Amino acid sequence: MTTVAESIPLSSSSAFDVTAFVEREAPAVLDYFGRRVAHADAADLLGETLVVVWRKAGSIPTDETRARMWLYGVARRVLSGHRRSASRRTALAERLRLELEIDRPEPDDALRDAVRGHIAALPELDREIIGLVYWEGFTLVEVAGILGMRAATVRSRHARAREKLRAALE
Amino acid sequence: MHNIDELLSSSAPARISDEPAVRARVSSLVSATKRKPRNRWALIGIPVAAAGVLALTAGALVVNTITSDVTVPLTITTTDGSVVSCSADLAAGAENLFDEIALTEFVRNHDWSNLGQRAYTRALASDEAPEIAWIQALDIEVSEQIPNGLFGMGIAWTSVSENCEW
Repeated sequence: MTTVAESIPLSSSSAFDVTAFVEREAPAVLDYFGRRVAHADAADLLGETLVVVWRKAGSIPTDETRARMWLYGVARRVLSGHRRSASRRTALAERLRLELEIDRPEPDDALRDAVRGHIAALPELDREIIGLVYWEGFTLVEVAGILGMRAATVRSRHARAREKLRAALE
Repeated sequence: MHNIDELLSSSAPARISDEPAVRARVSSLVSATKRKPRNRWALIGIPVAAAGVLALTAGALVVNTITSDVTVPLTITTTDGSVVSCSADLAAGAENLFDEIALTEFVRNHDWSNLGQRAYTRALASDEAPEIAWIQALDIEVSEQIPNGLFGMGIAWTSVSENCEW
């Protein structure tokens, strides 16, 4: 069976700049949260994630791909904590929260809304796989790394979920 | 007829980070959170009147910085009678220094025996996929052991990393 470690090249750079990496990826992590919870809550979650990231900065892989997987793994754990303890708030993210509370209506698109509706109806794990692949742009092997699962398991779940969505949208 | 992959990709909700004002706030948040470790050590500059508290704080800080995580052995007897042995690394932290110290001390000193079996039992009752149910159950079992009062008012978090093979 192919494992994540076997599938992703272990190229690394001694010049890997953690600060630049976090600054570059933070907006995308905000988008990750914004697609899964209320926009205002996404600010708190990003704040919590960044605190963890800096605290564990020494653990960040020096390979760009692995670093992104590590970062989204942290984000996913923070999101999991948020779902069971939504009352935890952060003062640090308050300004961003206020910015995100501005309503941003999207143009009407019945097909897009239907697709999102079918994705939302998937089991949580399948929904996350679909989101990470199609919305966040990760490969299936990378998704396996983020979720801490075997690549083969993610591949089969992705195939099943994709087929289910295809059938629903026909 | 639409291509399913194109349909799924194009269904992504708009990026809220595309707006310059949001990006500026994100950048500020990145900097603000990164400054946090330096702020901790700035406590050394507190006046002598706080020396008693400082001594306690400094001692706890050293311990906290070096061994904030604890590794808990897990032993789980599954429904088919097999035994799974593995371990979990636990950590907890907080934005506020004193909350952080209290949380870390609690996690280090708490009796985590039977954690794995409790999480396994909780996972069995979950509707989620097994892999997710296990991770969520472990997270919940850890966080539920921590008294709410220890989380304080600011950022607080727990982290669980396990290596169990099922």
